[in-house]
Parts: sequence; C-alpha cells; structure tokens
Amino acid sequence: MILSPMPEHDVLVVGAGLAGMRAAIEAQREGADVALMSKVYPVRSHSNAAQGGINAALSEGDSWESHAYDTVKGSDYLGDQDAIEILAREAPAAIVELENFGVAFNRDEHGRLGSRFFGGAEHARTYFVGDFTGQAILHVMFEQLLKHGLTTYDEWFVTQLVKDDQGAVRGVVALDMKSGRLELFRAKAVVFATGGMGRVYEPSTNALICTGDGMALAYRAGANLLDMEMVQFHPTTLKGNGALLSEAARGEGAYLLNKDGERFMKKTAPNKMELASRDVVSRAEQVEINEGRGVDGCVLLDMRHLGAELILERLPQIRELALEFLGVDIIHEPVPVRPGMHYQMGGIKADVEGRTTLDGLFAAGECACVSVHGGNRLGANSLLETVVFGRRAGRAAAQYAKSVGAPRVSEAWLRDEERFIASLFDRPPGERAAALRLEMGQTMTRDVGVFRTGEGLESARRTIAELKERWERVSVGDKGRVFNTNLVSVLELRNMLDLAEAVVASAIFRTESRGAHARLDYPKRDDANWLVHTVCRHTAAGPELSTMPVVITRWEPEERHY
Amino acid sequence: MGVDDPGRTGAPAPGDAGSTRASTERVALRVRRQASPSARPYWEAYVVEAPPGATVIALLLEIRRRPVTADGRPTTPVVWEMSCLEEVCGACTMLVNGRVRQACATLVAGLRRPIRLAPLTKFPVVRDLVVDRSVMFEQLKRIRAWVAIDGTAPRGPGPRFSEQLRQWGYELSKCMTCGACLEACPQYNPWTGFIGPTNLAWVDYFGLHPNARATQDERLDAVLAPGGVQTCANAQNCVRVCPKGVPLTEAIYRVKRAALVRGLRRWSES
Repeated sequence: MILSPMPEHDVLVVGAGLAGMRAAIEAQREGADVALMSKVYPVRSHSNAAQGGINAALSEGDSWESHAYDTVKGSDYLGDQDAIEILAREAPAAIVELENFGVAFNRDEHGRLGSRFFGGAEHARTYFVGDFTGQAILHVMFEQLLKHGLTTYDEWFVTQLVKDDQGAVRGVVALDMKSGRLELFRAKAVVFATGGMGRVYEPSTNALICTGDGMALAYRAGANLLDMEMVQFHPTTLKGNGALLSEAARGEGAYLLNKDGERFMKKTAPNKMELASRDVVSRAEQVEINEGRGVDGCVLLDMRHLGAELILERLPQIRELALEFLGVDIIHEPVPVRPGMHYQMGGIKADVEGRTTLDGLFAAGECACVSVHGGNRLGANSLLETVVFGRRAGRAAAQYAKSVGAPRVSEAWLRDEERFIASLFDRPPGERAAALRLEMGQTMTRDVGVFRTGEGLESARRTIAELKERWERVSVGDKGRVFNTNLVSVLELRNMLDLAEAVVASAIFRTESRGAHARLDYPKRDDANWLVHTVCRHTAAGPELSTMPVVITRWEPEERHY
Repeated sequence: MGVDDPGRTGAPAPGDAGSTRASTERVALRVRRQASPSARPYWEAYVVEAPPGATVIALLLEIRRRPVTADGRPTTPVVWEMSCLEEVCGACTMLVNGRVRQACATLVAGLRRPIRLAPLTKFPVVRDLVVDRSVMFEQLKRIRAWVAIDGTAPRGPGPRFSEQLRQWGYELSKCMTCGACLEACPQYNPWTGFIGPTNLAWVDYFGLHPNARATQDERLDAVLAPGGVQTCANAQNCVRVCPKGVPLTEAIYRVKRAALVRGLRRWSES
C-alpha cells in the first residue's frame, strides 16, 4: 500500500468484521471518503465464528413487537427499549438486504427463507446458513466492500485515539504490522467496530484477536463504558478446548442431560427447556456441575435423536468440532459441554446512531453498548446488531463528517506513541505477557464467572491491580520490527487488563443479580435500586462508577419465566 | 495475533479437570525461519514437550514460551498467524511436513518426526511462517466476485432458490480464503497468473445466483483471459487439500463448460 505522507479520510472505520464493513459501506454511500483499518484481513475477523444465525421477524405470525419483547425479556429488562425497537423493526430489511447481497440462506420447501428456533424466542425467527452463518455473511459483506472499492489498511494495529485541541476525536495512531512503522491517521470521524474482549477470560469461545482493543482505547480516551459486568457465558462450549458448539444444536432439538440422564432444564425452565435464555441455561448447568450431577465438570449435550441426516445437513461444523477435538461423533454419542465465556453485552456507550460520549467517535457491534442486549443477549441477535447498528453508525459518522472542518491534530501524538513503543522495546527482560494473560484469564473465569460473590470479586480486583503493576515490567523479547506479534501481544494485554479492571469494578458495583450477572450474595433482581445501567469511566485513580436510567417504552419489568 | 497460551491448542488448559501434564512427549521440530521479506531463509531445529492431543500450534507456543534451539542456543520466538483455533478463519495455513494444513486443526500425533513447518511457497514471506496472501483478495476483484446491486434501493424479498442451488451454495460458501488450494495447485504461481481454484468456484456460485447471474458474462470473460479457466490442468490437488471440503473440481468443471459456451458465442458473434 502506498501511503500519502499524511493519510487523511472523512471517516476512518477501525475493525473489519461485519459491523465495521457494514459501517464503511454505508458511510461511502453517504458520500464520505472512507477507509477501513483492521489488525487482520477482513475475512479473518471474528464474525466468521458466528454459527447459528441471525434473527428477524419475517415469518407469518411473527412480529417485530414479539422479537422486541423476547429481546427485552432476554435482557432481564436492562436493554434500552427504544434501541431494541429499532433492532427488531429494522431486522427484516437487514436480512433481505443480506439475502440480496447473495448470502445462501437456508430455504423452506417453497424456496423462500427458512428459519430455525433459537433460545429465548417465541417464534422460529433465526435465519441461517448451516452452522457457519457468520462466515457466509462475512464473505458476502467483503464482496460488497470490494465492489465499493473502499480503501483498506489491513494488518494495522491502532495504538491510540487522537484528539484535536477541542477534545474531539480526529484520528488514530496505528502500527503497520508488516513494517513495524507507526503512522498518524487524520479523520473527521472515527468509527470503532473492534469487536469483543473474550480473551480477557480463559477459556473463551472467542478468537485470539478478541482483545477488546477498541473498548480499551475509547475508555482510556475518556469514553464511558456501559454494563461491563454483563459477560455472557454460552451454555454449550466443548469440554477441554472450550470451542463453541452453536445454540443451533438446541434450536434443532438437542437435549441437555446430567449424569443421571435427566433433562435438568425442566427444573428451571419447564416451558422453554433447553431453549431458555443463555444466562438461565448456563446457571442451571453450573448448578448441576456444582452439586455433583455433572460428568467430569461438564453436562451432556445429546443430539442422537436428531438423526444423522439432519446433523450432517444442518450441524456439520458442530459434528466436525466434536469429532476433531474430542473424538466424539454426535450422531452416536452425547458430547460433554459446559458454560464458557462467549460475549460482552457491555461496551462503549453508544446511542442508536452509534454516537459515543466522545465527540467524533462512533461505535458499533460487540465493542459498543447501545444497549440492545442489556443483561443477557439472545442468540442470533449479535449478527443482527452488527448489520443494523453498523449501518446506522456509518451513516451518522458520514453525516457528522460533513459538518466538521478538516481535522487538525498535532504530530506530537505520533511522536508520543513512538516514544512509548520505543520504551517497551527498551525494557529489560522481565515479566512475560503470556503468563500475565493466563493469570488474568483464570482469575476472571474463577471470580467473575457464571456465579459471583463480593469476596471473589474483591479478590479479582486485587489480582488485576497487581497484574497491571506487573505489566509495567513486561518485556518485548522480540526486537524485530517486521510482524512483531510479541509487541502486539504486550499492547493487547494492556488493553485487556484495563477492561478486566472495568468488568470487576462494575461487577462489584452492581449489588443485585440480573441477566448474566449472578451474585450469590445478592441473589435477587432489585428493580427498585438497579433498573439502571452501570457507567464506568476511566480516571487516574481507577474506574469511576455511576448509573444512568434504562429506557422503558412499553414493556414494564416482570419476573422472567421460561 | 499476539495472545498466547490459548487453551484451545491441546496444550493442557490449566484448571481443566481431565487434562493432565503427565505423558508428554518430546517432539523434534524444524521450522523454516526468515526474519523479513528480503532476509535469507534457514531451518532451525527444536525439541519441545507436547502433551497428548496437542496441535501444531501448541508446539509453536512452546517455542514462543522457551525460545531455545535443539542444541540449547537461545533464539528469537517463531512468528506465525493464528486466530480462531477452530478452523474457520483461515489464518494459520502453513506447510506441515510438506503438506498444506491448518495448524490449529493438525494434531501432532501421527506426524512424521522431525515435524517440518514451513511457510506457504506460493506467497511472499513476510516473516517466518507469515505470508502475504493479499493477492487472493485482489483476484476476487478480477472476477468481479459480488452481486452487483445497489442495496440502497428497496428490492423486496430476496430471490427464491431451488433446494439444489441452496445446497450447492452452502458447499461453496464454506471457503475461508485460507489459500490451501492455491498452494497445492501445480498451475498456480506468479508466472502463470492463474486465478486459482477458489475464485473459479466463486464464479460458479455467482453464475447460479439469481441476483448475480445478469452480470455473469463479465466474470466468464475474466476467466477466459490468460490465467483463467484454461490454465487449470485438472490435477485435482485443490479438492484434496481443501480443509472445508469445498467441491472445487466440480465447480471448475462447471465454469469450464460455461466459459466454453461463452467463448463460442463470442467467437460466433465476432
């Protein structure tokens, strides 16, 4: 790629998964000069790991209101209902757009879109491509990106958000991984679509690239983070390596069994059974495991009764994963699964146009908290969020860019970053990034997991604080400039530690149980005090917490039953 | 990318009931190193501990943890790409004992020793096992691999699909742009300019898709140009190495037929 001495764009989108690509395409349609930057090639983004599908009320008898209500209920009433209404209303058009872009969605007997059931939903409104829906959509979105001839900066890692003298975000400093060179990018608007922070936990279903870089950069730059304690544990991750087995399995009728062969979900969710919302199912599994009814720290996912034909047709990837990593053929045997960290419902506070609390910075996708998922995300609503709010953020950023003048930012930003990176190389041999990350991940899984206690959270707070201190002594052993993954991992670890701290602080702050945040010392949902978002702000003294109201339009909080 | 020690590599996940540090095996390993695109490549030998069920990535992580050669000399950690660790992202494609594999899904057990890891040979090396595969994305432009509609106009429901087309679309949609087919193809190299198996499969897909069919002649013209469909000599290596089982040869056969018809038509009209 040939760079002008000073790359400048109207809109710079960071992150090239579905939300980022959709935002970039929309911003260009709005007439902006757009560039898309990512630490990996777009098709390697984590969107490709989404398996089960994408939700929309498209079938007869279904309605956007029903989809919205299911989402509100799934969120344990912490989702903002105005945003959820937009998500559900715009879903059908978003799916049809993807279909017209060329996604080979499953069909019904008439050749029209065919759907499947997913957890927490009253209708079969999940549209899918086998169990590799994300990958199929990601490729098609990439094709559209190519069609639009957008500028991309592939394998560039953003290290800093850049502001002008008025404090508005007007670009980034980024590291070209191929050359090791830092560059200042000026932009009238920056859109973060940088994805989740799964690797803060160990294990996680997330790809290794999911290190929450955008969330952390925005947080350190002064943006508010919202509801960071709301971390989703997926009920069916593979024993051993923790790989995700899609909810599609249960959507197609799989059973969850304890060691006695009992479908234990009947105790907590007699109506929806295995298809209760994810927080409910994960807790039920953890109770079975904790009370000695598990099998070697797991429960069993049984698909034998679905038959070979359906499994091979609709769940091929699940079969492959179980076969490859555990040697279990799901056609003939149940597969051991357990809850595993999967998704961050919280993120950079963004409104329905993607505007964050920082002027000039927009956010969409998993890194943002709009908030449509509240305390618990429904399966197949995340792919939907990427396209609906990616489009809206791209549009809003392009319109915003028209309203501001040429970005004026000082070269000092670049020089500061160069000094910072040089100081990392200059550190004497000391701590290893990998060791610290592992300790962080295990701490988070143990103390900030499916069930939490005040005591465990305090212990996690101390450990993370200590790890942050040790990070100052982490060394970059690899002194090479070309594709230095060692340097990138040290920078990623810094991002993850800041987020771990925000998650723990937010979890300590919320003294109730709601959605994915289950505190054994505060086991009840407390609407009188906690029907509010947790707001986390970065200060020199650590995370500063406050609350803001949840938007309720038409669905008053009720007790959840599945 | 950078984070290491992932539990999904067959390395014993700490705190994981059921995993054990016992019965690890000492594995001899050779990796082809190259410090930068212009540097001289060389082989370096290591001996690393591998637990049962380890993948090739677990071996590389072990070297990263303790960058020491087989004869005890300290070295730099090996650099490679990885991300999903479940064979969906296509990042960690490399040569394992001369065969193109996804390192995350290649188990150490059953591999001949010493295990030899090398970068793909058909793409420029960036560093060690990292190669620049951007040509794959450039070539998608060459065949205009997209539905050429403007999504701003409301179009109503998408096209109806036959079950047959849907099934075929599924198979072709599994491509993760890993580059294995290009690596294995005897016709693919910088001199032939061959467009490669996966792009021909995409041409087939767009030729069938109701929204993309209308502009299929443009794609067929692209594959009739030098480096196009006639460069394929039907070695069938591509379909044998594809980790996703994409029916590449069948797709290529179909594109060859369509291109022939298009070529004859062009000739008769000229």
